[in-house]
Amino acid sequence: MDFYDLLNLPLDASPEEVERAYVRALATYHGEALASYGALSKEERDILLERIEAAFQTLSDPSRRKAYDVQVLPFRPEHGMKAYFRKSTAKLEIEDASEKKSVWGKIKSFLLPKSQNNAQKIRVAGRVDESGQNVAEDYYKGEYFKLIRENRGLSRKEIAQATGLSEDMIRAVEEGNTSSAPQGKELSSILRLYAQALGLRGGPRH
Amino acid sequence: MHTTRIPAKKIWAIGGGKGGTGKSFLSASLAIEMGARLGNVILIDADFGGPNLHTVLAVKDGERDLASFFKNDIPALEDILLPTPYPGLKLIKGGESAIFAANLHHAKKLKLIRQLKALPASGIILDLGPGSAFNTLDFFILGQPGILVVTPEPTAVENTYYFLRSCAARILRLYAQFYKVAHLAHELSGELEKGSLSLRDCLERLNEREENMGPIFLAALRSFRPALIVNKARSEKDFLLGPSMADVVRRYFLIELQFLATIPYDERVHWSLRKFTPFVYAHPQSGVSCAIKKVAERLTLPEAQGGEQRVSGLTT
Repeated sequence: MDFYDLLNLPLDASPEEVERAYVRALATYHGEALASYGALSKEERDILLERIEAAFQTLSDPSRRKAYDVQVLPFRPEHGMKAYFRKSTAKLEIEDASEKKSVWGKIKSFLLPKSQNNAQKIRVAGRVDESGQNVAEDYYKGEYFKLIRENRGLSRKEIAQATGLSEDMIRAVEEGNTSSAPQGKELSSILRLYAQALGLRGGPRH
Repeated sequence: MHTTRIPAKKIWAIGGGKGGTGKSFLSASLAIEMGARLGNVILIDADFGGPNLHTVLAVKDGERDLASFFKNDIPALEDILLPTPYPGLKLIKGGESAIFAANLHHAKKLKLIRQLKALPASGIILDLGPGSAFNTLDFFILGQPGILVVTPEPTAVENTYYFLRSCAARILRLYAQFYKVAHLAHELSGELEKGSLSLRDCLERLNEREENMGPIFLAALRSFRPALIVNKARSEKDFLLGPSMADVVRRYFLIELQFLATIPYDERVHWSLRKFTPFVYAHPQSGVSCAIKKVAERLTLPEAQGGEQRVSGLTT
């Protein structure tokens, strides 16, 4: 099972998709995860978590991903199919052409900075589940950052040193402690610092 | 001799191992929705330990039930069909007599399955009881698909995995008997049921000891395509449970689990049961009712018969 299969990613997954799949995988398989409770042994879980981390470190780094793809892609059946379709570039270009922006879309792009647009895309990208409800898959939260930190064997002290925040603040953010953790924009700033310390690209929008 | 052609019907079995997850509530609600859609649906209360669908649907007590059928008092399943107040829906009541305290005899089970498949209906819903007894597993495997109901609690999730493991062991035993390697399957499925061996390891050992059997058993597992409903979801994380469990099952049980829906927790369900009023009638616009309608819609799509809907696991 290669890293793309491990994280359920298509071969052309964007960095944001890689990051989201990584956090989602940790949320599914970490030691106290409900979804995998009783399904695998501790040994299986430890091995899997190591692989998930390795997958993220490889696929999130462009040069490492390129080197990895050289080894893996020739064995993927869809890679062969993609090469075939590339021959009919005319049709492919038409199909791949981006949608024309509406007038409102153009105004929005002009008024809102690009970085915020990207953050918003990451933040609110979710699914409409089978009941028709929008399930916001917001993984930029302290509880998920804690999963990543623990999986990498990092202490709160190390994160505190990297972010300039106090250990108490980091604990409060991880635990979602509304009485001691800041809210609103201040929380967003803290989460962004924490995300950057973990090498994550995205973060909550202000 | 004149032969009556029975139209192909859909059979859904609702089970899942743990009690209290809402199987009967969902069975009854889905049956009401399906009855309205298909016009001719039969709901069978196959909870042999504690049938209560007649209570949920407010069907008056009658003497005709599965116990009568099993005792041969009433030979045909069709003769114990009970009308319900809901359009397009009939009920086969579970038996309340002592016979249901014990395991159902194999011959009686086969008699039920044979007649069930011959019932004149567009759809049949089997409400199974909790637990992983052989009879429960066999009826669940009969479903197309068998639908697991889980709540976002560790005990329910754990029991669901145990139930799936038991289903897989049951399927492997049946295939092993057919391919005359029953001794091998018996040994390995015992390990599987105890949880000391994963399905993946089980298949690898089978392949080592009996060449070429691994792919056959893998194909057997692939043909088993259960579905999953997460019930009583209370938080955003609970809504992510279904796709996550589907990924776990695909990875560690080698089974394609179709995630159907997450049903939100709603206090009003309790009160609708107390008032013997179907929730989908009392609160048709609620999140619960909308989710149930979506499930009914998916299950009655033509491609849903074979369970082709791919599980949206950890992908966006």
